[in-house]
Amino acid sequence: MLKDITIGQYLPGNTVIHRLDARTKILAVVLFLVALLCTQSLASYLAVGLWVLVSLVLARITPSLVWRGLSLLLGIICMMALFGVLLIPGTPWVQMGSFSISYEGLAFGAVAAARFILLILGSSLLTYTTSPLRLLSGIAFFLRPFERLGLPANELALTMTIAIGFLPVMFEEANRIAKAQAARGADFSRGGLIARARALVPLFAPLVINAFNRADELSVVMESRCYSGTLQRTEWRTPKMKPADYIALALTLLLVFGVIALRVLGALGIPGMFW
Amino acid sequence: MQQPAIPLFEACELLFSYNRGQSLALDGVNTRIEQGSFVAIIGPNASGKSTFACHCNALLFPTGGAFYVLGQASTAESENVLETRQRVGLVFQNPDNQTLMGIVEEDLAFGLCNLGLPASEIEQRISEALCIVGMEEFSTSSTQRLSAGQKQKVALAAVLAMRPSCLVLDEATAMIDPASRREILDVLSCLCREQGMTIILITHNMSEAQLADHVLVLGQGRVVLEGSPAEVFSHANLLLELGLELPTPDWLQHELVQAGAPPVTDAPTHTDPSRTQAESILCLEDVSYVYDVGTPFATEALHKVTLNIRRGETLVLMGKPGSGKSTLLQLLNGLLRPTQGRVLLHSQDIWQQRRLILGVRNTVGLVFQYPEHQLFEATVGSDIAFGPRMMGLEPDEIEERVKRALGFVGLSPDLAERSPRSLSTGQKRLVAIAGVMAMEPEVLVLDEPTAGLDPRTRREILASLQAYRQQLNGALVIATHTFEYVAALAKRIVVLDAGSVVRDG
Repeated sequence: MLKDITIGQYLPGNTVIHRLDARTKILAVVLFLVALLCTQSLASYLAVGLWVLVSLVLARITPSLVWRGLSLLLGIICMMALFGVLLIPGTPWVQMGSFSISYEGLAFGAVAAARFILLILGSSLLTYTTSPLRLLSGIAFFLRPFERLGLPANELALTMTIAIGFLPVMFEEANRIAKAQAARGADFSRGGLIARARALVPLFAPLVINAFNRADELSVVMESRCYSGTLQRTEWRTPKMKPADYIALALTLLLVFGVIALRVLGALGIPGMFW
Repeated sequence: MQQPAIPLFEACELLFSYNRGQSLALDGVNTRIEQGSFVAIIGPNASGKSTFACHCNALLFPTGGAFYVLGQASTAESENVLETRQRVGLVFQNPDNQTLMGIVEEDLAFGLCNLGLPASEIEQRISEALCIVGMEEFSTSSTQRLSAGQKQKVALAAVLAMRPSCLVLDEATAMIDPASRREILDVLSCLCREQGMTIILITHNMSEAQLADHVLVLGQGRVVLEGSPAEVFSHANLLLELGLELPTPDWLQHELVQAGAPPVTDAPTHTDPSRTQAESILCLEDVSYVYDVGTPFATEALHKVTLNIRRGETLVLMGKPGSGKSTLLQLLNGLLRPTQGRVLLHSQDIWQQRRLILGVRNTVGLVFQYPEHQLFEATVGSDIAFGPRMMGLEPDEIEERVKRALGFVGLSPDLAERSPRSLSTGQKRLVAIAGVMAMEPEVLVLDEPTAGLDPRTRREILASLQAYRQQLNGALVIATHTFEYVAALAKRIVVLDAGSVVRDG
């Protein structure tokens, strides 16, 4: 069931990761993304993978939850891998007439898929383990320096938090609309590319219209609950930075430096097993 | 109870326009709402009920006339806007659009944080409010996992946590199951009696309105009637003229008397000989359905259900939320494939050949809940034509079908050129139903076709469904959790509980 879409959802818990300050987690995820960007060698992929794995285990995110998050994006992942496999020229592995699959292509496909999976897992760790209100104050903290440039930090943070929170709701709604249109004879899986794109209109048009209506209703709800961007809001249950936060940040920094070091070593052509 | 000198709200010749005076949503409303009273506001769709509610909460301000909150005129410039919003809590209709934060306790905290309260106070108010609505055990649940009724209780708690002295419920019970509805109403009467909270209940349900000590009837932006429930409901003809109805028992009897039937209470037709002889169209044989088969989350939604749908009958499917109703409906037209058992259409197993499925969907039309949310074309006509177009019919035939479908639902053919967005909610619902009728399925399956609509539109929909069934000599299957009006319509009621049929007759 699409009701169980886990991307963007908060999974309540009380683990080390859950207890970390939202700011720590936001910063750590940004650092993680930097590390992932710099990853090139097998050793560094292993390091980044290990970081994700350890965090998932510590946060008690079960493999089935991970799977449910990923399964939705399986199509995209496969497509990315396939592009690499089919389009990258090199030493042929299989040859079928003018068409060939190269070792380089296989490697590229595998790397693309691995990167994408790590990207999804690493960044969803943040929303899995950070409750919306904490996420809100965390994002607001990092946006506040931009207030001088006229950026409405609090409002923007709230918008982002609510948007993330409504991702699963949107998935659910897309599913509902798809079913309703299928009941009216829509077929999303027939015909060429253009026919298929056309078939998506009955799905996306109502989705967009409903999203606007929803936004309207939510803004009224916010107003009726005395929200006003200018007032001083209470920071409720916002954790303070604790030793665990500094350790988490230090470990993540270590990951970034490690990955960069491996890359530099590789570029310098220093021989080694992994790079 | 206290004896307040000034009313909580007072409207004097209150005018309001959403479009700078082109049309008036409120057209000279005069009324007083005393502190500590329980007031019900009834009226057809677009009679100005919600607009009035928004004035109570200082979300809207008068275009003309005046609106006083505790004797003070409410204007956009006045300093006590936030104070009024805090004093008056508003609960809206749609349970899905009222939670801002994904976790129950955080959603409650959102409003409290806005008030700038200290953390300990927030903590205390949250548990207090959840306790009032009986949702304590869900404080750390994700709001998404709750049922519509539970979500609505959370929305109520979020408002209660702000300690309002007045609650306004804008059709807040329209989209939820009867059990949750009763629980919420119990909480409301308790708050009114014991804490002297003012309750303003906007509703389409006349039995709910009877709970109030004062009923206000709005029509076209004016107060049409006002008084105690007994007084108001004694003006039966005026209410019916407005498109409203009488509270259920009276109404049912009224209708039965008019139809020439004696006002008796025994169940309709135990043994109907025509029923057993009628040809079976669609048949479920020992059907079970399991979600997430083969994963640790496997849950059985239906267990060995056998159901026979015969030509010419109207079957009402009842059951609590989670009893498997919507799963059953999706099995009927092949949107879901049974884990076990067979679905037979004209004695042929629909899953025998994959390509048959699209044909099945043309024979068994399914209208989901709130189908108006799925309208997408620029004009009503082309939206209704979507189904027939997908069937590959000729343009002439499609045009003919659109006309016929509009006729079934009693809408004028001129409407075909209009944009669906310019229609009222009730009309949109009719258009969406027409969209499925245009495919002229033999079996029309509907999930809560009248939820959230005013009595007149409800009657229009039920009448058009009956007309459709008679003209095509097909069958109707309606899933619902409201007894009242369906009892008047159905020949056969099937009750589902925990995935099994517990009653059929």
